[in-house]
Amino acid sequence: MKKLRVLIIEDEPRMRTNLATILSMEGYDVITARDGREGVTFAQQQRPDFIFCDMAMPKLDGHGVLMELRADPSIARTPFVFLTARGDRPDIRTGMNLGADDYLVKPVDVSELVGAIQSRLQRHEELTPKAKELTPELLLPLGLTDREAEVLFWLAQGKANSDLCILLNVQLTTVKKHLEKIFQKLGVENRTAAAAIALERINSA
Amino acid sequence: MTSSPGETDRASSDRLALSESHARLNGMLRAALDCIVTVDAEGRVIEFNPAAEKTFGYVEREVVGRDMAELVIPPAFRAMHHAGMQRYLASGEARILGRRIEITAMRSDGSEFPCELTLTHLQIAGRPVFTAFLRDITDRKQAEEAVLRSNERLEQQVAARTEELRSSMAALEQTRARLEEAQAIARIGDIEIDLATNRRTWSDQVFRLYSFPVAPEPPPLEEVIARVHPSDQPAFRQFLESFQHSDAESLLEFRVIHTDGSSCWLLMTARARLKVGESGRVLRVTLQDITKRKTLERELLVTIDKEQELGRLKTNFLQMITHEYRTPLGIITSSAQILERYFERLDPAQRLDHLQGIRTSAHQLANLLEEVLFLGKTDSGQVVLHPVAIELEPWLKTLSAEVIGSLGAERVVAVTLATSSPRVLLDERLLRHVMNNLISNALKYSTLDQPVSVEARSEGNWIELSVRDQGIGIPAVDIKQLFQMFQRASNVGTISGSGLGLVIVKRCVDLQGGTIEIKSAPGKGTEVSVRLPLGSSATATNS
Repeated sequence: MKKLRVLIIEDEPRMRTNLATILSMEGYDVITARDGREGVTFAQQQRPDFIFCDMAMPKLDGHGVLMELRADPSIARTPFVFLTARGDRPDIRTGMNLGADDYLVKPVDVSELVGAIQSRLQRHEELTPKAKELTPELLLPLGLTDREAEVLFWLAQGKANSDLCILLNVQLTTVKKHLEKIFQKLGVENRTAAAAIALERINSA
Repeated sequence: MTSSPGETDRASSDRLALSESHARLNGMLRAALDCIVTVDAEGRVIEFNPAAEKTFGYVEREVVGRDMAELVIPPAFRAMHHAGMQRYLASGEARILGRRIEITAMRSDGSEFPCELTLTHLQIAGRPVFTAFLRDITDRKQAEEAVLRSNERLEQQVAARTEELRSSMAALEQTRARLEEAQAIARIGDIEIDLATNRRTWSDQVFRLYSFPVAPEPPPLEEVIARVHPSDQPAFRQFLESFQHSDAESLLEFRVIHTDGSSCWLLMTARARLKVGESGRVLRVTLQDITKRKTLERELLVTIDKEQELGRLKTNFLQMITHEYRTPLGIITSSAQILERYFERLDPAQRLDHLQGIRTSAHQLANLLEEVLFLGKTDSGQVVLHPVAIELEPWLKTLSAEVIGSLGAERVVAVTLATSSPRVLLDERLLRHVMNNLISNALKYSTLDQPVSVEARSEGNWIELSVRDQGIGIPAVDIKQLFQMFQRASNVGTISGSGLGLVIVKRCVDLQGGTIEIKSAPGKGTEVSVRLPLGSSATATNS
């Protein structure tokens, strides 16, 4: 089986080599870029299967990289995960709204890195034939409001309540209220059941 | 009475004539409105006419032959009357004869009344008789007294009114003075403008507020407007204009430039009113110096700004701290995990590399912690100077080697000395903070092939330490911000730094009473020169 190719875009040298070491050891074909500009170039030239990108970088930051890649149809659908800090909540929300697949908070654990790749690549395979834009709007036919659709969209991708707070830029109590409404409307009792309905909906779209 | 017959005719004709004359006299006496009383030399009443009867309440019959004094003179005056009578009869000296005098007379019931008296002296049949003409002047007296009293009252009233007027004038003057004083103290002036004639009246304080000499008439409006700050002049004119058609009260805050160049803030409150008892409108204006309030407001705003700035700095500080901590922590965590999970698959050189990475990152964390703690100490004034003698050349060389070691690169720092004495008296710890940061910056922001030099020169009681590199330099716009926390030049790129180094350098230099100067050209290099005052070398010891 051909090794999956992972691109790491990270400006801090030692961090970059450490991430590369970990992913190499885990059996991936790793390429590294030292800044956002180089990251975009490498992504377009070498067609990685997966991209990890630091958020704060000189020259071109993570948001800039994501926007350029999403604008390039040949690479727009490559799973893209931000590496960021817990403190950068507005940045995370912006990044996710720009269409990032996920984000990981530094310092990143080996299992988190590997887990992110595995779950994304798996879903990517499943979703590839559809070639459809994945947005919360897909969930509106379930009878949800825009906001509820957004909550369910991220919930279906395995986000915890604390992440939902960041992604929607709201308080925890608000998230909980939205969840209650969603469960009620879908006639389910827990988030796993709600996520299952949402995924079914997304995949059948 | 006896008479001869020859005499009788004559006598009878005389008697007739006499009687005729007597009848005439009698008629006159009876008709007279004045009291006419005739007495003989002894004071006994001879005649008492009807007017006298009416006035004194006697009948002539009763009183003829009686002592007049007992009848009509009040007891208190009788002695005086008798004395006068005796004196006249004895010496002929008359004090009251033929003159009109006022006396007090007495009626039959004993009541007294004012009376005008004229006394005449006649010789009737060789005997002296006195005729008194008396007139009751009670009414006249009363009228006189009434006039007198009313005059008195009038005079009193006039005096009272005059006094009232005087005191109210005084009160008014006092009030005006007090108002002026109050206006001067409160720095409030008042202006009245007749909107029909544009005639203006100023209180003294208004002159002072505009720094005009106090005068009876205010200066022309244009001269006043010229004193208003140029940027406030349009608003000032518009403000005055607005009252031509509005009675609403309005306020205007504006600045005035005094003749001495100083300026103050004035608050003008104005309201147009109808003139009392006249047609037309008048604008009443108060002018108040609000410079103090404005200053306070401005200070308050500055304080709020400072508070906000402080809050922003704190947030900035925390963000920066977390950011600066995150990188070394991330490296430590990931390197430790790599060693833990893949130890067997790593060759010895790789293992060593990760261990070194952990050590370097830990060192970086410790440095950052040290910097933050040191800044905290300088903030709270806990730093006390301890000057010691330092052998400058070896000290600088050792320090340079340490800095190079911590950066983990093969670099050279050239140290040159041009000092009068190899030893200097300085606080070693503060000097270490200064030179450590400057040498570290010089190395960090230049490449391996670009030399870094440190030079020490003494000038009198000062030492100048310069660190020069040929690195990326600092853009001119960034230089003045570099002494603020977390401010880094815009061209630092990926070179890591806390944005605290030069802040610490500045603090240390300030604490020693020194100065710092940065000369830099982007792309050419930077030279940072620190001048420090030296302690007396005589007291230099190797402590």
